[in-house]
Amino acid sequence: MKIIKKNGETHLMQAIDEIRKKGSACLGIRIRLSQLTACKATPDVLDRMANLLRNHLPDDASDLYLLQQGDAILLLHHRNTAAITTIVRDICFMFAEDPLTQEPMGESGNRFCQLFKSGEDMIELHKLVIGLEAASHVVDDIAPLAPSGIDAIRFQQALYQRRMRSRIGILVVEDQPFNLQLVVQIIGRGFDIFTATDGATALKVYETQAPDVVFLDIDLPDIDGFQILKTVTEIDPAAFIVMLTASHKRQDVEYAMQNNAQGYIVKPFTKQKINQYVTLFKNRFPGRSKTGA
Amino acid sequence: MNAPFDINELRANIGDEPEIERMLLTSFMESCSASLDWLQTEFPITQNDSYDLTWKNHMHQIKGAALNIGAFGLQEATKHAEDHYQAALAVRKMLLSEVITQFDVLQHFIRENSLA
Repeated sequence: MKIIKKNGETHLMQAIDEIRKKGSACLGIRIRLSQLTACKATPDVLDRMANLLRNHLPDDASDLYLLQQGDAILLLHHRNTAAITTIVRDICFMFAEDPLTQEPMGESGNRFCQLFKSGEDMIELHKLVIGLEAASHVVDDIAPLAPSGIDAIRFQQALYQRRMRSRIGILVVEDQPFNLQLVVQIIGRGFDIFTATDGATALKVYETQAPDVVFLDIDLPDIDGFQILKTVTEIDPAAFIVMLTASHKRQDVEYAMQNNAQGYIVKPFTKQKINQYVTLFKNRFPGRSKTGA
Repeated sequence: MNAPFDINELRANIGDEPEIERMLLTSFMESCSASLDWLQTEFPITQNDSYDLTWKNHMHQIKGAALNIGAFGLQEATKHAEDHYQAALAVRKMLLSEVITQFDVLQHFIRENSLA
């Protein structure tokens, strides 16, 4: 599979022109990565999508183009429409959580994967690319992948798991072993509890588990808790993060709130303080509350 | 003598769960003990930036843990030590000694009362 990451529009238009001249068989899929909530099209995302699709496609049977506007186009050099169903299913699975990928497929695909099957469709695709290229002049750069430390694709899959989880998932990040165990005990049974004693592990757990609620210590040995707060809320605007600290510094509280923390607990941790935020989460997001004490 | 911490503070949070209580207090003593052992063993001969920062982190951690079980003597001593993490070594030797004393009192109380 050829992956074209630069000047995708120009190369794609040339390819379509050639196909039309030769009258060769062709199918196109527009993958609307630009519409996803948490993952944008980048060369890295394209590489990984290509790895997934290689299972279905011989090396010379397809090209994948990255458009500056943020979408990708998969061009198949055959007209095996049966293969399309599997390919689209796999692409949608990669970004499973996003509602866009959940839409039922029609003859021309869905809003996430738009299909171009016939010669006339290819003319439409050509026009579309011209339009996108014109529009892309106003875009400075491709939207970045997730902030450093979180793999956007894996996170999309974790968001799907979050939706499927039967209990509220809570991540506790605290480097002091006693404090960590205390918070876990206070939270009690009835939840899926994840723990981390440093920032790097916390980000890894967030990426793979997408917990519903996070209790996050500010003073961690490797990454500042505020940095983790910023990283997580950038990729997951629905994140529910409560900061934990031993200090009463006013500027810390203000900073946490400005960066979308849902709350702030000053030690000592008590059942009342911890439960208050679990209840707040349940009230604010009744749809995500599931079970849990 | 007043008790060096109030077990009821902990019980109010975790309920009447003797096993969990024992596990938590053991964890508390082990983690504080490991920090204090390190601070004593690695105590430098000359001023050392890296040790100063580690000192600050360990004192901060013990302070947080002490606060969580209502061990205010230990919390006070570690707060003082954390605030003075760049003080002269002779001063810090005294601060460390005070923290260890507070911790020993607490440890003794916990063992004496078979709490862990």
